[in-house]
Amino acid sequence: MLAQAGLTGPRLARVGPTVLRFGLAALWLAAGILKIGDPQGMVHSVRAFRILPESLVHPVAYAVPFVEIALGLLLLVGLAVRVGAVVSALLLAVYIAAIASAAARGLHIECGCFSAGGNLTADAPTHYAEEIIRDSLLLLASGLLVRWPASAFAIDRLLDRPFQENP
Amino acid sequence: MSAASRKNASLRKEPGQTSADARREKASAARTAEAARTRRRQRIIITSAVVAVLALVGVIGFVVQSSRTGSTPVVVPANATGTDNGIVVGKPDAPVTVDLYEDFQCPICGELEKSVGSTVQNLIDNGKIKAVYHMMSFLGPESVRAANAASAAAQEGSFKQYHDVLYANQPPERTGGFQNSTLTQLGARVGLTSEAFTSAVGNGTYNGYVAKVEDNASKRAVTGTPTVFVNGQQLASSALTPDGFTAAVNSAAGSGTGPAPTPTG
Repeated sequence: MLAQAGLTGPRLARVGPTVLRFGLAALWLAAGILKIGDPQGMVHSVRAFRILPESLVHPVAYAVPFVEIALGLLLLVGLAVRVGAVVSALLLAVYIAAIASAAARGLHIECGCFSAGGNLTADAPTHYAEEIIRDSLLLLASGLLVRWPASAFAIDRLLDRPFQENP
Repeated sequence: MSAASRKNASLRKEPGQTSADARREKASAARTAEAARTRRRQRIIITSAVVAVLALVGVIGFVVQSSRTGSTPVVVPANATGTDNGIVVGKPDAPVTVDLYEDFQCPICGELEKSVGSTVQNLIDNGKIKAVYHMMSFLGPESVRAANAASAAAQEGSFKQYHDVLYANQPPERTGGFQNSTLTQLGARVGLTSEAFTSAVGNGTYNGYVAKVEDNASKRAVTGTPTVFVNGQQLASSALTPDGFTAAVNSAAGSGTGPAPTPTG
């Protein structure tokens, strides 16, 4: 009875973080994979924000999709979930700041979140509000995962196990 | 420590044995602390390793993407002598220079061509303006194919005619229109039947140039199409009408400034 209750508690507590972890993993993998095939488009997208100096535009544009995919894989296998969640939160905070700044300066651009953006035909609508709300929700999810990183099907659990079984 | 020995310890718990108990507890606490230390060490190692790997992946990404993008050769077609390698149409010494940033797949550019296209052509024919076309290519591979074909037409000296026929036959956005076969057929309508044109369309000869034009536009902060500059002054989208455009050209000509200095990226 007691043993069963002891198992059910943590297991239930792991459901939420597990869902968040796989959700964020899928998001980063999708974001990275959609952008990786169009490096030039990424350059224009990053440049369109007019935040980074020209010398940093190429390095950032080229590196970001790779880092996003690596982050997605880390979260997927559940290795160093807390670190992954922190990096995830930091990236999202930067994206939100960039979109908010573009909106504040009245730039007419596409965020390039899930593809190479940057350019818009002149009358096409921007979606700054939706993009900021979406990224804020994802930031919240990352924050929750930082606080409660213990989830199911994670390499982290295998690494922790020897210590839990030794009295 | 096994369960059995723990039981023994509690059974033997007598007044004289408290110090032994305390020792045992101390040893157990030390073991727990040691385990916690080991675990913390392991966490630090994993954390640093993961951060290092993420940074390394970023560097690898930079190297991989750099090598991928640098590989397309830039072949600049004839008449691409305008600002930022734009294609020049009209008298080189015309008093007003108009820079047009368009994408062959952009529907609003299609509307602009319908409404203002003939006005632009008249002003070119009258020697009032020199038009510089920057064909952008951000609406899918069909955009790139069309811009490449238009560059091939520029090489053959028929850019403007070909440009007009492409807009007159613009497929809807993002439907995979402007296949190379369509592009050569449309070329034949304006007399572009040469082997040089057909093979340049098929081989994507000017893809490197097309990417360069797109890059130059991005450096000039042109992030949307259509974007029109009259002597370096960007027109508001409300001025993109036959009257608005003519007025802007007249005022630029009247101010006597001549062609604007080359804008720097």
